[in-house]
Amino acid sequence: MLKPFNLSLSKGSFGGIIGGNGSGKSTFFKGLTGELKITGGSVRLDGTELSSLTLRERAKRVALVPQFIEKSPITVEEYVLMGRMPHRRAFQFLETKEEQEILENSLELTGIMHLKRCRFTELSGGEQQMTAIACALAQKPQLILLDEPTSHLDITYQSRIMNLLQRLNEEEGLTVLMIIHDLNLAGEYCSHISLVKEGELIIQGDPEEVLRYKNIERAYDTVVVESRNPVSGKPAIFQVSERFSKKYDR
Amino acid sequence: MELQAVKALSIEAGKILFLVTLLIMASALSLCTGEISITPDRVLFYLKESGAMEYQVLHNIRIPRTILAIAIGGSLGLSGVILQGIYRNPLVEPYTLGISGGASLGITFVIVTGLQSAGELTLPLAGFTGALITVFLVYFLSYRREGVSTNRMLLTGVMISFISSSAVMFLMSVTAIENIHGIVFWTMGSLNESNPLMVYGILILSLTGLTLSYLFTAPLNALRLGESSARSLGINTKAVICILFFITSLLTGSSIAVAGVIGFVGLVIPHFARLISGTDYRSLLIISFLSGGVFMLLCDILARTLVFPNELPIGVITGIFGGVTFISLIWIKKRT
Repeated sequence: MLKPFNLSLSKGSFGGIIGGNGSGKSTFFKGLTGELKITGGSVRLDGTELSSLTLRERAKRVALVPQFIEKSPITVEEYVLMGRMPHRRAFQFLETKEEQEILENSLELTGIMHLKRCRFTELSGGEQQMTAIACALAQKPQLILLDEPTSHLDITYQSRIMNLLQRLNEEEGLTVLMIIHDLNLAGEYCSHISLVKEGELIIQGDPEEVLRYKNIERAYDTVVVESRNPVSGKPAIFQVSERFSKKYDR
Repeated sequence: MELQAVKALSIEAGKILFLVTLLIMASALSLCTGEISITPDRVLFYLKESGAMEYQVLHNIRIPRTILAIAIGGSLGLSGVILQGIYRNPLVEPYTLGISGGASLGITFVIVTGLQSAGELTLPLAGFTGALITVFLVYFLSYRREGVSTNRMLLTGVMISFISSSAVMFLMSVTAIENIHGIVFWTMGSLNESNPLMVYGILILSLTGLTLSYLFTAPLNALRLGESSARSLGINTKAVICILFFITSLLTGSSIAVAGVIGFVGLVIPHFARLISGTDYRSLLIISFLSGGVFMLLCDILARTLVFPNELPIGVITGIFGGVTFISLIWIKKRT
């Protein structure tokens, strides 16, 4: 159950939602994609009330990269082409030339062209995530939602995915909104961060404003210190272990 | 269309054509095999020779039986592949949902109460009604305000299946010994149905089921990624699952009502079909239907010839043949 809150994200921004487990981040996403019915309030995209749209119309505008991807023995090509589903005519059984071009383009953008004929089940976790992103891109959405896209991935794929999303955001003008647990990745890449606790929005704004130790300690009930990335100068958060936190005097 | 796409399409069309050829050959074999042997070159001749005994055999026994085998094999194969797609579980088959149990209970009730003598359609109608009641029970017991959960449907189906089996055993334990024979014979399955209304009715129903389910190939393909992903691709998964569930229930219920309990077809055929065509439902549905028909025809021929001049219940053959094939499939998959 989410408490009423206003979250606004401007077109072309790179948003991140942070907060502890069970804080309502995924519930909020389910409301956006239509998986859960919104009983109060409204969600607008570019002025259009999302709940007034059919699932198909909504899917043309909003794409989701889920947290848990079903392992199906289909090829990467088949998977990515699935992204064209909301745009297809009723009872269209064959792919069009335009769809093939969009497929190639999505594979090119995500750098997985070489995996086109591979089975999804044979891919590594990072490659599977890239495939899911390529599928979302094939949807040609205005907004792409990603539910913890970097969890369980090594730093190579974490960087690859975040850099890719940053490029898509800057070069293609794609609006990105993701749930993310890594606060430092959020600080490094996001232009707008929303901090959620127990279904309530504590604070939202740019990373400088949100990633402060007071906000983070309130949301996560743990001791942290704030610092900066020495190269990019972006805000960073470090956890302090129990042994040191007892001695730590602010 | 890209050259590669045309090539892929031709390959799938080739597989379907191969299975159609196999189905024609198996049908021809089914028409020729039996107590009165007819050579393939004489089949067309006897089909028009109304005075000959072979004419009666072909028109009254073998043609209905061949049509029934194709329709019921196709229906069960199709139902299996759809249900395994909905539940994303390779062990699901039409009988897992309790449909068979409900039909068995309906038939047993009619035999035990003596209502069977009311007319020749009473028995299949009782089976069909039992299957239909089960479908509605499974659906409504699994229904919640937020929709129907597929896992809950599966569990409810399994439970209803157990309850029905126990009720059948109860009725068998309190009925006269002569009734038990009828119940046991029916539960083992038979394609011995010559009523043209039933035979052609089942054929039309199975082809309608194939056509209707083919309209849902895109949602079925999307469901391979899970319900959540399919929904985010614009598919109304709850509605699609309900419609497909009712199509498969009607196909299975009507098959059981006419031919009794024929196990394993709905479980094994989808695995076979996926080996032939992969997981794309655009060809998988057709290939499952055709493979089911071929499998049932071959099983029926075996049932008629293995202990000639006697006949084995077809459920025995599909059970043994299907079980051995399934184990072999698992073994082959493990090796590869």
